[in-house]
Amino acid sequence: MSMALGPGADSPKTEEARASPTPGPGTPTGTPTRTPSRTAPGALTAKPPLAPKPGTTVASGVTARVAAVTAGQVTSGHGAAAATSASTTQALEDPSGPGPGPSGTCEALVAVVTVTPAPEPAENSQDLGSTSSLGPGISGPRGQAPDTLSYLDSVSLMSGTLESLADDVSSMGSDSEINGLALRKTDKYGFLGGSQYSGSLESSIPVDVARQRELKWLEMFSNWDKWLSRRFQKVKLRCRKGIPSSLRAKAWQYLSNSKELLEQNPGKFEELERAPGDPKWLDVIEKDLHRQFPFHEMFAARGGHGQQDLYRILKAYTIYRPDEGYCQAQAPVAAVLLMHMPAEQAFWCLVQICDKYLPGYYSAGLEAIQLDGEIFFALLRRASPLAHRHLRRQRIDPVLYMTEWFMCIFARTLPWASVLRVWDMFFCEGVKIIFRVALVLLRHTLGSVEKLRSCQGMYETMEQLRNLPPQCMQEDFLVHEVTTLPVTEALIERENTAQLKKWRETRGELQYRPSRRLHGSRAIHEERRRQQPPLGPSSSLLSLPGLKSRGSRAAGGAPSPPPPARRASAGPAPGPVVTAEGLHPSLPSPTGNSTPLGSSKETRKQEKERQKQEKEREKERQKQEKEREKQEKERQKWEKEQEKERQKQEKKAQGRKLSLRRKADGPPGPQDGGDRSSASEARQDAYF
Amino acid sequence: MAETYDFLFKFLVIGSAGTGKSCLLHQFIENKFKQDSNHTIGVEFGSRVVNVGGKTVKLQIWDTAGQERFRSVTRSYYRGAAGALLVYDITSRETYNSLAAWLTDARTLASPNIVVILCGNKKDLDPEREVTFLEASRFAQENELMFLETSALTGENVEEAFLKCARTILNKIDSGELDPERMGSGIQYGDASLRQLRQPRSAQAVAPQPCGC
Repeated sequence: MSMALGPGADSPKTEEARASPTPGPGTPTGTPTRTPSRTAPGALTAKPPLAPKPGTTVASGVTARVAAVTAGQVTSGHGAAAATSASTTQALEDPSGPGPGPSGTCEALVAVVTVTPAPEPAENSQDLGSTSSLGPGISGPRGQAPDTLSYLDSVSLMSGTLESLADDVSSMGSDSEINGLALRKTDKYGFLGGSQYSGSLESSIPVDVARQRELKWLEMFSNWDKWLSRRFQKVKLRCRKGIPSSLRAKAWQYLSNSKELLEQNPGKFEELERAPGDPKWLDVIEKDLHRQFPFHEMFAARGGHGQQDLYRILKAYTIYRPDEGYCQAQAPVAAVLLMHMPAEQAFWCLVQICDKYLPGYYSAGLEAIQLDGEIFFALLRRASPLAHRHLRRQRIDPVLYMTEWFMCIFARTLPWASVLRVWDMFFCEGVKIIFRVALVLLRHTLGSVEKLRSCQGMYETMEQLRNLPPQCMQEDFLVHEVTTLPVTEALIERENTAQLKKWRETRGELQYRPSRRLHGSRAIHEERRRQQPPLGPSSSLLSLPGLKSRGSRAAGGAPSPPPPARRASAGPAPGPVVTAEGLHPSLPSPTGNSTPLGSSKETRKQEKERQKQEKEREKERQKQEKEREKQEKERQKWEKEQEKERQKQEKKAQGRKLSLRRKADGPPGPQDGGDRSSASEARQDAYF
Repeated sequence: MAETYDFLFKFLVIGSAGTGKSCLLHQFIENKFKQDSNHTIGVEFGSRVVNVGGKTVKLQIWDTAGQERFRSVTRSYYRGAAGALLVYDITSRETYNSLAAWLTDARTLASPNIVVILCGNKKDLDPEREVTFLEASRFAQENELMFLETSALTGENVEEAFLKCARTILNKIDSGELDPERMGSGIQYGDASLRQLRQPRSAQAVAPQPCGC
């Protein structure tokens, strides 16, 4: 318990440092002074009636507290699993107490400030094994009421969110359960209201399952390189099942490899923060700060710590990539990251998303998004010919509806539980997931004759696409549909080539050539492997067009220096380095991590046993894995054949009506992908 | 579907980021100020049936993202708009300075005949004003725009702006300056007028199909 409280007690300090106008020790002078000063007239949008409310003097005083509480709740937002298992993480976090605060802080606070109506405390006390979680679990209810209240009061002082919440209820549907006091509670993700507020309807995973998953993930973390290179299928599967909320932040950083970027660039973020920045970008960023998830407690307060952090990382990015600057769609993405991790980590994660996962999405001209729109539309023809035909007849360009979906990775579209699951898969498998989700959504919105009946005109159709049927966005349903949809990386790449060709024919050369898109964590991992051995310039092989930008990034200090040693030691724990992240302190042998779950002696015994078992199991698993991979390949062959057949049939069906168009479009036949090496294609197919 | 109207107009709301486009739309549709809003990525829209000069008109309003780099995407929304609210923020000269570019976009991409009303939004923030009424109204005159200063917060002139635009379009239809039956006019007959007219709509409905480009 004391362990848990340790970092928790720290938190107000660290946060205060950040919140107060005087820059904290590490904080650059430029940023914080600028933010508050701007947010004051940033009452800019806070027009007269609003202005008295925000009374900025009040704000800065209270922010610290808000921040502290927020931090706790945000992570508590990770759900029941987070709280129950907080013990695991807390203990892990503990030794690193002094390390970069927020993440540790969050975890520690979890149990203490939970507002969620959830049954965590009960679960905790039932679980006799977890003594240490019992502590904060008990202290929770006691301390919570006053804290919560004053926090909420302070929020309502500072922003209009709560008041306007009442209005907003109407738009949340008539059967909304939210009313009166209930409004003031956050859901388990930290939302105070709005369309993404989750009622109590969420299915939660049984505690023991959650804990098992955590252990598995911890084991993966400790051998990450090995897992990625040799047992990626398993990693993928686990991402699809949903990353345990307590470990989500860390997993995202591992999957995106932002973790390594952070390690290789110590102090870089601070340096970027300190740089003056281009006013052209800063102005736009400031205008957007209060417009990100205004119903999330972290971002509800004007000038609160969530908004400040948002400012920091968005600004840092414009300095990191001056050629890219700031795109408004980056803000929601950054905000989602910030809900899970401290600013510096969120920044590097954002960098990975913008550079590796979705290169060009946020660049001037937005060509990449338009191109993906075309690719999407081509894929839709297979996934849902009806929807495809309908949209085509209505002349609804893909960019009319998919822009926000793709650019924000659905962060503004789906219910929150689904957002997180989608992001889990996205970090692992890359853009393919975005395509699949979008295809699923369209298929279930416009995919049948009855559904189309209510969308006679363009406007009705668009309206339908803005108000997707809730059942198709529901977490489990969506994930199931997404994982069974046969849209592979190879397919996307093939379509990419085809659409790029079309683009060149009709619109000329691309103005902006982004670097090559990497399909998820394995591709990122492989790229890194290729780059890091002293290969020298031959890495140009990877991406001809990307060379330039990569060069500029190199100037930014990103790549080379440390790796070789680490590469060699791919096996055991990247431990010490991780500690620096403040996420994962002592050597994380999977079993060591479970220590806090039980009384220590017992657990140690158990651990040893478990280690043995684990090793044996590991061997077995590897065998199985190999077998499974074989089967997987066979299945894929079979599926390819099926796909071909289906296409044939589709063509026949279409052929009757649209023989002309068919010729024009041409079958998406093998010759499209011909220029890609077929070997890589086969491998990519195996991903799916 | 049950609603009947004489005409349907497609409207755009355009202008730089943070000028209050979405808030104007929200104020017009819901009659209240939208306090906690996301910024628009891509497009939002809303519709409302209004009564203008004895005719019922359904306004179908497309609200666009303001940031410069979204323009390439938002262009696809322009097609076939009959009217537009061109919005700037009276407390930000920068947003005023980019008006010309927005106007060009609207006239080239939507239609040269598009009826545009210039809206100096955030009228309630008069003390922080950077663009004078006179200056803007001169700009409006030079470019043949109507002009109003609006406040999405208080609602002042918001409804007026939309109605004024609609009224002008109706007048142009009456005077024959605008032909609703021309493709891409942004105007459609509603059910009410369809009953009186000899089904001009069927021609329209068929039109898009042959060009399966």
